[in-house]
Amino acid sequence: MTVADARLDADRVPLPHGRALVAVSLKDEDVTDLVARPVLGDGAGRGWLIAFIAASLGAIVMAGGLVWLLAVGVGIWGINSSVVWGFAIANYVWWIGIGNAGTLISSMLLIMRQRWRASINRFAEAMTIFAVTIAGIFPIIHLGRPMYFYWLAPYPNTMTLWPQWRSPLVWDFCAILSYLLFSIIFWYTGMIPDLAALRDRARSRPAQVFYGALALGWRGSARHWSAHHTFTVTMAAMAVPLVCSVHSIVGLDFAASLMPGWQETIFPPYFVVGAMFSGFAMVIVLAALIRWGFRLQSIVTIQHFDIMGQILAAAALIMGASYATEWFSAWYGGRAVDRSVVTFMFTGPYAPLYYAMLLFNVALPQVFWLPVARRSVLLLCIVSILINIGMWLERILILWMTLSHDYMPSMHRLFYPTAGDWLFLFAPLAFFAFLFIVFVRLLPVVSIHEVQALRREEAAA
Amino acid sequence: MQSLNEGQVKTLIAIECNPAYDAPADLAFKDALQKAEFRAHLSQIVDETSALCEWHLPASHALESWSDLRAPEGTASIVQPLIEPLYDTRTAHDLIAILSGQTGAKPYGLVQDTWRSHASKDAFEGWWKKVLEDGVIPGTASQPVNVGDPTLPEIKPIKATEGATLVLAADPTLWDGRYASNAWLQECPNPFTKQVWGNSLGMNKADAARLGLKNGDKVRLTRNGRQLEVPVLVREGHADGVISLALGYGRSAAGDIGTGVGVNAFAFRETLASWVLDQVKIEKLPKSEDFAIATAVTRLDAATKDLFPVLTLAGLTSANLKRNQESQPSLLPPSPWPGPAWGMVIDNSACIGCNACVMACQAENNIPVVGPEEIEWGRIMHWIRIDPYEQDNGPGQTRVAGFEPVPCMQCEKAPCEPVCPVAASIHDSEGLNVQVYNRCVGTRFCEANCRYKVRRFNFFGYTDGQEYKNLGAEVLHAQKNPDVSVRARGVMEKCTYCVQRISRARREAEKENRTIRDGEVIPACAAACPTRAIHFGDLDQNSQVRRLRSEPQHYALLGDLGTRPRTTYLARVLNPNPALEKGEG
Repeated sequence: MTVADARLDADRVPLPHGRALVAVSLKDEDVTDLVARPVLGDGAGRGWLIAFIAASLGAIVMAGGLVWLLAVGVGIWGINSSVVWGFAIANYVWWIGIGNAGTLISSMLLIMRQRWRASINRFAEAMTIFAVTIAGIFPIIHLGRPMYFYWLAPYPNTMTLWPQWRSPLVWDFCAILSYLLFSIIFWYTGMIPDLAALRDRARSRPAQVFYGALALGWRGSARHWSAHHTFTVTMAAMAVPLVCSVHSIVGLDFAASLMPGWQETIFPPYFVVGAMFSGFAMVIVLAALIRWGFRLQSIVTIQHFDIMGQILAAAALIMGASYATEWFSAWYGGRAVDRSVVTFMFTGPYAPLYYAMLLFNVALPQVFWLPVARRSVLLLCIVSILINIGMWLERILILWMTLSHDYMPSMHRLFYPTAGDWLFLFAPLAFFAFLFIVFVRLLPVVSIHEVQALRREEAAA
Repeated sequence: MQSLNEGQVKTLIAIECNPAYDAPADLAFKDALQKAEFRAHLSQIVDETSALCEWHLPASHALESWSDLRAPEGTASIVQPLIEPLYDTRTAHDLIAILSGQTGAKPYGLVQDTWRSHASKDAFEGWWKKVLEDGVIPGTASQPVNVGDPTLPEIKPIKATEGATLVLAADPTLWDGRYASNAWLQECPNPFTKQVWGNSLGMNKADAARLGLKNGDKVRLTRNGRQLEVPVLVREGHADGVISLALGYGRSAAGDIGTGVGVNAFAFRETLASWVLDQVKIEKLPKSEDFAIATAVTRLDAATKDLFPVLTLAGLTSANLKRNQESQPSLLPPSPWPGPAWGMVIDNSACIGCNACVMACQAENNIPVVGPEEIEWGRIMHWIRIDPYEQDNGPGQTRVAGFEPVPCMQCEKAPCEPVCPVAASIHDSEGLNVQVYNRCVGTRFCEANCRYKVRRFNFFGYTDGQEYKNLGAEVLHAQKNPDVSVRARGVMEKCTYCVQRISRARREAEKENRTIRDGEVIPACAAACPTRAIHFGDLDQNSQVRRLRSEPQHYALLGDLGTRPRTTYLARVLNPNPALEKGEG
């Protein structure tokens, strides 16, 4: 049976739990073929080359922007004496949030034995690594003196100084560093069997050496598989608290301060859910692109999108509850300054953005209660992009609302974005695309061994 | 003017004045000036008048000249130079001596000669030294004149006219424009509007609503064939139909700093209508202009009244300003250090909002000027700011309730300290919150967490390679206070209670083996305040600040938040005549 027939097969074969996650008529070798072709075959095609050139231009723009910023100073952004944090911090939180979904898919779903994760976890983890890398750039470049960013690290020095441990920014430093290291290790070790498969199929000498070196001598023996499984499950068990703690710490950047609108205990869980929300939305978009670009419809099926749509609807409800908690606490707590901030949210100059955020984050995803909506990849992609915009708006409004309208009315000041702000908002997106496009050309975009295992399970069921 | 216009003037010498800029428009001085055969101008910069003269004679600054002057009540004083002249300049005395034939005379000798009659030949040197030391010449005050009992003038009611009435006033910082090239004064906020680097047309809310104007809209004023385009700023203290504009702006030759800033009201002024111009037509234009406003003016209402309490004398003893927050619990440990505990008390009843403290702080602490574009972006740099508070005063009108200077509160439980990741914001043993410039990496979390928003960030190298216009010139390095460091780009700074002055006093006291006396440390703001509104001292001694803190009108700004600021306030206390309240008398 050809691969094309297998694609249709996935939609037709009835299974006890509904539609199939992987086309059961595929053989193991077919799975490897599907995933290895773009990497080892005749190349990923002209479409890939065009995308690569476009993304490279974006990456060059980002490099230029960094040189401009470091040479001239953070004054090129719209930040001022009242609104001291602007796009850079919102971007940082947004990118970390996007990254969280990859780790949740890899680790949390593994522990919860959600087998459907197998088709999407590889590129989701890659998304995490690239997102966290980009996110990690912002706390460095937004500093007034970025060349001294390493003072936030605890290292022995002639000044005999440690970082100031009570500051959430030091917690940030440790959290993001550990998150990045963990993600790289988890992603790489999970890829070793697939890299071995590519090593075995590679025809050119450079490809054999490249994948052979990365495969670390994997032989596929029972002992290797046993050790691999134990290792993966252990790492996944560490990853779940790591994900929760990383984004809780990002939330504590605000919650550990004393400003109205920030000093709320709901921030850590609210940020974690928000991260999962925006991350899954990004995964949906990436999954749709990869599925279409590499013709992986038999491995990444409609059922995956169905499940992710349900997650979006649920997370949107939790986000709505979090927003409502903010409004309720401000009223219930009775402090004039808190009520003033909430009034400012709904009636101030930023109010249109606030309403847009509520629409994109809470109202629109409710359409995924309808099964027919969940199975339309186009609708999923549109709503996911709007969710990502809405989540970015949420981050920037958390900053703007409080910093523009806090305790001293004489220092109330609005934020106006500059060209530098827009550059650092869009150029990293191009850089992310650049990294991703290189990734899909060099490494297996889907976890071959896990999909094979999933297919065997579905066939046996 | 008549001889000038008829071409009868052969030589015209202008001494330290600028009539080509500030003469009333109906004199057409610029054209008349050029009818003189020979024109020379003695002034500090090449300004509008110099541009029309054949020779510009560079004048010495008052601080580098010998001269004399009289106080308003007649007492004379000798003007002594502080430094040798920086450049090859001359004073007006030199010029007049040359013009009157005394070519070799020096100002020092000329000033001495003016006062030589006050002492005998032998005693003169001794008398002269004493006069220089004392600062004033004794016995030169004018005698009081008997003018009889004071009477009220008879004010005839004016017939209401068409159009608005424009009131011109000297600018609070640029005066008549002579200080337009002084960057500190350009960036000094207008006490009422907080506008910097420009002037604007003031009118009250009711007039603005009637004309459909809002802040920034440009209007064209027309009177007697003259026109002026100026942006509007809605503000307090204006009667219906009255608009106001400050003189001193719109200069065309005031160097890099002052040229082209604001609108020239002198071009509208007339000899017979120099301060109040009636029958001004206002026409809204489809243009608008951004202002540079340093900070906002706060309206007193239920939410903001605790920021600026206003008490009456009658209600003082029963005032319950429970803002000393000693009773507020805190999770942070108490400070264990002995030694002076510095504190500051600012009296809101005395503060007139004049900005002398702001300027003194800028001079003492090497605070940079950032320029109008940076102020428009909201990046003020002054370590102390004066917050004006307004209250309602009838429909569509507001008036000033008072001014509140806000320096760093030096909180005992400072919110800026636990959030700095590199411990650049720390507490010293004398109660100061100190900012360590060379440790600061510029995360700005401290300013985000400060409730009072008193910290200032160097978004660019304002003193360090990215100065505004010509303010990085070599000669300006000599202006900097050597006791205070200059901050680099990316570093946070704030009020330090003039820690350099505290340090100097401590060193003097240690040399003499004693403690620092009350009144020995005077921060720059307290020293400059003309109404003595700012008091500073050691709270651990029986000092004036400690006594002031037990006054019934004493409070701490945002005191219920538990930051325990060392900078506290005495609320404004009014004693209104009951007849005024009822609208009589």
